[in-house]
Amino acid sequence: MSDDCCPPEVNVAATGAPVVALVGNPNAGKTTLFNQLTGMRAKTANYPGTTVEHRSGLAQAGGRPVEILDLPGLYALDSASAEERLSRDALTGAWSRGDKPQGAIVLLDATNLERSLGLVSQMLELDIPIVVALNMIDLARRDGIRIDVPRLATELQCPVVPVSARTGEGVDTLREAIASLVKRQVLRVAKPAMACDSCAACSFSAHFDWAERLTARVQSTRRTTDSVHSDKLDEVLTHPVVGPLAVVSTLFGLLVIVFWGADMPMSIIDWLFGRLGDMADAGMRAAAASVSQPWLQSLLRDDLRSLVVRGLIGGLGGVLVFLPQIGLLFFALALLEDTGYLARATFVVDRLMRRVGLPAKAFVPLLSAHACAVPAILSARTIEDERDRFATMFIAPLMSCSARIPVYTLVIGGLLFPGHPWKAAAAMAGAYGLGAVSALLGAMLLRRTALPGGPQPLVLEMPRYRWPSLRTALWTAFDRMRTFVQSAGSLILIFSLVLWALAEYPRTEPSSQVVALRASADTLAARGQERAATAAREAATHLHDREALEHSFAGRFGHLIEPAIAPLGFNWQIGLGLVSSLAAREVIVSTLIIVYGAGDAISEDDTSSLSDHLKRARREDDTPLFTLATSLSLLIFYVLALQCTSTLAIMRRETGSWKWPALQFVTMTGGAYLLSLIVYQALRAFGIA
Amino acid sequence: MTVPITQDPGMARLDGLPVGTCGIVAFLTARDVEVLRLKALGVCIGRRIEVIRTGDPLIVRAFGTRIGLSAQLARHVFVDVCGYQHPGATPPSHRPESPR
Ligand SMILES: Nc1nc2c(ncn2[C@@H]2O[C@H](COP(=O)(O)OP(=O)(O)OP(=O)(O)O)[C@@H](O)[C@H]2O)c(=O)[nH]1
Ligand SMILES: [Mg+2]
Repeated sequence: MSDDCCPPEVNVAATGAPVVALVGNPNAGKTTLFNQLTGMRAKTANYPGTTVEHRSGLAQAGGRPVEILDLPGLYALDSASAEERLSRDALTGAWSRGDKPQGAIVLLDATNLERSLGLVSQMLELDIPIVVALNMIDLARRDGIRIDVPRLATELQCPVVPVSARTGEGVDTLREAIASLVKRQVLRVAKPAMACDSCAACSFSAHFDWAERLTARVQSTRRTTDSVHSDKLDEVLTHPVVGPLAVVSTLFGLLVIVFWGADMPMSIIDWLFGRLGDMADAGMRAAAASVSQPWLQSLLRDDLRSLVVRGLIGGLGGVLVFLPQIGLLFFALALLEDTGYLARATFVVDRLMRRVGLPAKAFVPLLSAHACAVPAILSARTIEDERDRFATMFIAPLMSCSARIPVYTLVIGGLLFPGHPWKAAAAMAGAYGLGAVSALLGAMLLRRTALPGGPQPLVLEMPRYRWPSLRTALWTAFDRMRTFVQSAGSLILIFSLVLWALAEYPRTEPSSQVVALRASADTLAARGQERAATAAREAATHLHDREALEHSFAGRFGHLIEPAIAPLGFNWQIGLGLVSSLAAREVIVSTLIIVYGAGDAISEDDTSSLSDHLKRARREDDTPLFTLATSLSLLIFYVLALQCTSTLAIMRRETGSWKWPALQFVTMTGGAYLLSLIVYQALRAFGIA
Repeated sequence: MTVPITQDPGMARLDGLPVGTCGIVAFLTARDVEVLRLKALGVCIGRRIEVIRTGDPLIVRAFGTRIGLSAQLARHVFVDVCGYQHPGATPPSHRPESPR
């Protein structure tokens, strides 16, 4: 999965439509409203700081297009973190696009009016016309919070529209309000009169006091907004003993769901592609038999058949089989995020994280790195301190991302422990654990060398628990699966085809050995010994395929790098897989299919899956290739090595120099090489080849 | 930011307070960036906060929401204790006067 992580940004800067910014506290529902207004599907979650970049989209308001700008949330206009600064700069015009938005929609959380109004009072001081959207009105109603909307509008002297971004209630009224906003019919920018209780003490205090007094005037139930449920749940989930247990079981549950739940759909996909391959194979043989021109016949029987069966269907099926796991992982993660639990988990892991030199806020980025490192590196923006942020980004790719799932499944489920689900599950947990533990060790090391110092202390708002939105989670999962298929459909497919060609060409003439074998097969057949003749013929084909691959472009390149990787137990075919993994890790799966598919004559009744093919693979000296030592060494290499070019690119962007990605690449890949080397050589020394 | 140590008997450090304590923030001695963060969330001089969970990190309620806070930071927050509450009880309908 290379660039499936960031949904494409819509660039509407050139349309000339008026720009309206969405402003509000973190977690107020800005992105949810943005999605409602523009029909887009940007990521939302019940965790403060989900949006870290601005994103814009076109919405229809009063019959004309308006560009809506979704910004990261902010608590106050002069806050400290990178993404809050980004919002403030966008509002004041101090950013790359260079001008202030024509208006702003200030989003209030109706279940937490006080805090929301604290920001409004600061927004009123900026010279931007605003409309106020009173969001989460559905929740407020449920909780019996009554807000006097007309009074609030009078007090703020601007339109106030109650909405529910989740259900869509009130959104049409909001569109009309936006329309009059950009038509400059909302002219008020009067500053709120703020009686000063404690101005001398704290600049925010005045805003807060004002917000509190206003809340008292417009809200009839002046109850703190925290529901009793949230309090009770927190009592348990942030408990010093129960809390950590809950975090561990949540993570474990996540793994179980992903691996057990995906088992059946995976076998179905595997079977489907197996059938498809067989059908295509038979179909093309039949087609070849029915044509009379010899050249067309050989094209259909050899080149094209191999291209379709091995290159296309084999390559695609080998990767698409992981679709269920990826979908499930993202679905479960999205559900979990939307409940608000992750903020509690962050709170709980604070002490552990601090011990290794990471801020607690690194937890969510590191968790999402298990899906993909690229969005994880982006979400590290919520970490205010630069060193903390760099440390987090640096180790994020060590977490096992979903692109490694195919490789892990193949090596563990197919080569190491086929038919032993419990052993396989333990090994899978071990692979994830190895990644996580090396990440934490890496962080400790970093804090002693390149990024000295301790992490910033935790300050984190803990949002109310909410029922997760099934629709959001389904969309997220669907979105990820779609991008995965797209990348499988393009990048991986192209790689598969190129690799197939490299492995197939240039064609070589059969060696004298092959010719001799064939001749003896013919003699055997002439003597009526059919079985022996078939065996000889198969041996000849096998030998010829092997020779052909070895002399192909792929074979020559693999041989070139073989000396460097031989100490890890890898032969040149695996080397080829390693190189192709630079495009995306999971490409090694299709590479191995092609390389070993070509080394293995595919006979008509052969419906065996890839792992069976691989288990039959042999080295030059005819010993089995994927022994315990080689498989383990390969697994370790894939856990630790940084093989993802998109990660390097995003690191370059986020850190502003090539220094960090280069250091990251060298240390991680070097570490992977060393550990694989040690494990392989140690196992060999103990006679466990 | 340095602030003279006061002798006020009602004054206490946030990290030493039991669950249910409410108090008015009197002063903050943390570094500027950290103070800014705290202030934006409502842990700000003159504002009332309430301790929800003790330990490290601890949880306080400020400005209508729960905030998780490292004890390392809570050490720099000094409050004027103004009462205790049963955890979970509804807060009083009026706030005590803020100090000038
Ligand atoms: N019940 C209900 N939930 C809502 C509503 N609006 C948003 N949510 C939920 O609130 C949570 C936060 O929504 P987001 O849209 O991610 O919030 P945001 O303001 O973009 O947050 P940041 O990007 O973190 O600043 C999500 O779980 C939403 O599903 C609403 O009107 N009603
Ligand atoms: Mg958002």
